[in-house]
Amino acid sequence: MSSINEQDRIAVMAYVDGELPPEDVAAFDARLALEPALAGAVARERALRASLRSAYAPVLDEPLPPGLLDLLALPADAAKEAPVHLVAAPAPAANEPLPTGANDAHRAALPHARRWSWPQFGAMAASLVLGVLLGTRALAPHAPAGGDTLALNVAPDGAITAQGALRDALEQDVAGTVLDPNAKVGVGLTFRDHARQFCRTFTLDSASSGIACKQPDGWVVAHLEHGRNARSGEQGGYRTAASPLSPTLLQAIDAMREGDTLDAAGEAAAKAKGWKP
Amino acid sequence: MSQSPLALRAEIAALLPRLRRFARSVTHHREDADDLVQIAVERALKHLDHWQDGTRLDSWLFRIMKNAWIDEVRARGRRDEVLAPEEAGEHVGHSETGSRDIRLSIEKAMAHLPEEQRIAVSLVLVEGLPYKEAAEVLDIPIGTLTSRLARGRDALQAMLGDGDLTP
Repeated sequence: MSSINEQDRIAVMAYVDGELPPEDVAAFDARLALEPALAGAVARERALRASLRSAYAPVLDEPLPPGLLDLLALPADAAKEAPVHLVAAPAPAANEPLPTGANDAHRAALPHARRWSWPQFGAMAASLVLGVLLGTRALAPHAPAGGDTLALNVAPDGAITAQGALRDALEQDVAGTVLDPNAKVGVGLTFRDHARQFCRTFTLDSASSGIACKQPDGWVVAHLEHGRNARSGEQGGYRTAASPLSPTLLQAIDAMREGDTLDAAGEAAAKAKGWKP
Repeated sequence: MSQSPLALRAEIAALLPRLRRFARSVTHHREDADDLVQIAVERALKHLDHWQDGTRLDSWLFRIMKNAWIDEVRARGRRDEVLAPEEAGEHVGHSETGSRDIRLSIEKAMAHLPEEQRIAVSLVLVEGLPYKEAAEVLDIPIGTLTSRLARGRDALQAMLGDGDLTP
């Protein structure tokens, strides 16, 4: 390490941290091929970074303390006023590995793009279900048994999957068939991602929107934004199912999609095959 | 409540594993770490309206955690229990007996770092935040951040030895 100067040491860190200005990367790469001391410093920093990450990685797989999940539940009296509540639910039985890689960049903010095994993940682990009280009458055809219309399930590892009315809408709604104009859950565009999975945009309770992709276990949320992100900058109002997609959602779609969005016939065909890739 | 906190709450819930990881690397103590996450999530939920459009939710939560750690948790922390006196030596280099030893060596080395270096290293090397985000979490200029990172890395390399760190 002493064989490189201070300026190079800073450059090595920036290079390893992905912070070197893009225009400098090629020149730095060229120097690495010629200067063993510099290449050695890069290797050391990379090893340190990898070691730190792997040293703390097991924490991600630990079951969450129940108290933490309870915190994110609304108090009972607030749940009466707010259109959202949370309930604890049994963890899903098993989860298939997620294809990662293609979607990593746009999923960077969501932790479930990381590796997908959690030995401690078992029946004892509570998962979190975030539900929207959507009005069971409006959604009667879709309402799951029990009357509660649930929307999002957050597993202890942070994976979010669609539940209840949202899952039903993702499964069943195709272009042109709006089941209920008053329904707060809506499905918009459908496209295939780089792993050839079908992904669909959705809106929840007019203020939240996102993208879910069909995986063996269900519709896994790959992108989620809440009211303030989803608010259209120009118009200033809240988005509704009918309003244009937010810029961030459009960016996410462009980063994820392989090919064009599906037309009505394409959606119908995909639905007929169970949205299997 | 003018808008649904549904997605925001879901995102916070989804970030919990990373918040716990950050807490573990900062506090190097399991119970302190969970106390810290608990306090930070409570604060975040109380001040959801303070979160600004277009900013990263993880950075905002890390910032709340950093402040909660300095204001509150550290003072009543159990961190003195972490390192037995015989473990507090300067050299904590790993043995060759496997990845678990390496992990413990790294955790010990992190625990020996001055706190400001440890938090900077944790945000950038473990949590993968860009320099700009990490500097904002810490309320410091980027130059100060890179300087803390450099010193922290040198200290870690020195403690862990320059050998192959990967298991």
